[in-house]
Amino acid sequence: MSANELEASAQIRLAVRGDTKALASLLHDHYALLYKYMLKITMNKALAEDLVQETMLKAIERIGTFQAKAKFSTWLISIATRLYMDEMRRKGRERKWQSDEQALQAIRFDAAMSREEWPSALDALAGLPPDVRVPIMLKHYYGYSYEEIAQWLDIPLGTVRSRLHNGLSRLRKELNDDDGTQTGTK
Amino acid sequence: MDDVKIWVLAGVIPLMLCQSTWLYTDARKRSRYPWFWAIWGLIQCPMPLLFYWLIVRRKRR
Amino acid sequence: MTGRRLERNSGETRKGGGFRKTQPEKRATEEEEAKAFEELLGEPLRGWDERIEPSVPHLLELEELVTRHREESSRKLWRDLFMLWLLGILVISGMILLYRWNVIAFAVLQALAAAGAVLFLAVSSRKNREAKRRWTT
Repeated sequence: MSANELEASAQIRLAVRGDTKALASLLHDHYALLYKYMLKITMNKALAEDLVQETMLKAIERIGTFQAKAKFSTWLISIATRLYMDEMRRKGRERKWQSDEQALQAIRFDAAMSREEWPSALDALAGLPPDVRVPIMLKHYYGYSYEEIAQWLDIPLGTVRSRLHNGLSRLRKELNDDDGTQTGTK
Repeated sequence: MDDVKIWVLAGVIPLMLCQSTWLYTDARKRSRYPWFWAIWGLIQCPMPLLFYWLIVRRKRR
Repeated sequence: MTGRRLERNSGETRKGGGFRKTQPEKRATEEEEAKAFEELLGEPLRGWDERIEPSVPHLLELEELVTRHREESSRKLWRDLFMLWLLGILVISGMILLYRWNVIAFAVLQALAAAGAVLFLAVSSRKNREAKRRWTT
């Protein structure tokens, strides 16, 4: 283990045992990652910010149950994912948050990307329903396993697979249908 | 005989309170219904503990 | 965390009509999907990721958050426990009195409580499962 890793795990152990500064430091170090994750799966800046706050509060409450062997970032992401899931399930179609289009606009503005610069691929991603977008991001962008995804979303393994499969088919169809207005160019 | 009964009854109160308290504080961290478990834990024993173990502790995490 | 394979499903054989995929088939699909994802979204996502600038709160702010939240949670917890104990004394005393007045009634109540609790658990778990399945926009 590198010196950095040793220090990190020592800090985790301190935090689990109740050390305030250690926990705050951990939250500080992982904030950016957590925020970026939230933003990508919610596609809604205000919601992402709120959920990040909530995730941290939950983490503060539950740090005692954290197993030091696991990865802290994974733990935070699992908490955040569950919170997002609960949020989506609870609201149904109730729109406390901006409409999707407005939310996307806010994001584009934040990324300082004009409408033309914003890759249509990301629009397609935003167009997916959350319960498809989340597994896709978790598996293919963040590299988590099927089991972890199934556990966090509380769905069977087969469902994870099928959602991934359907999601990617949709993306493929949507993005390749646009006669090659291909994205992500330099 | 009544003497024993009194002591038994006197033991029941702290027992049930402890069961209920433990269920409540644990369920707050792991379950959606801490109050349900707490109240069930006031009424009888040890069924709530058993079910709690099976449902919340074993399956979820 | 990446590439952890499904050891649990190893040895799964082909069932009638090829409904289930074999292990190598699964892996092939997985790789194909990973490639598709990378082609379609890899660059755009990474580009976006780089441009996101979250306003990370200051370390001291977070320390304050931790302390404050802990104090609040602790206060709430003790308040709730206090109410629980109050309620508890009432309920337990009530049960004891009931027992001494009429053991049969007591037993019936216990049975009802057990049945009611199990029913509640069953109903709520089914509601949860349905809600999870219907979790789409």
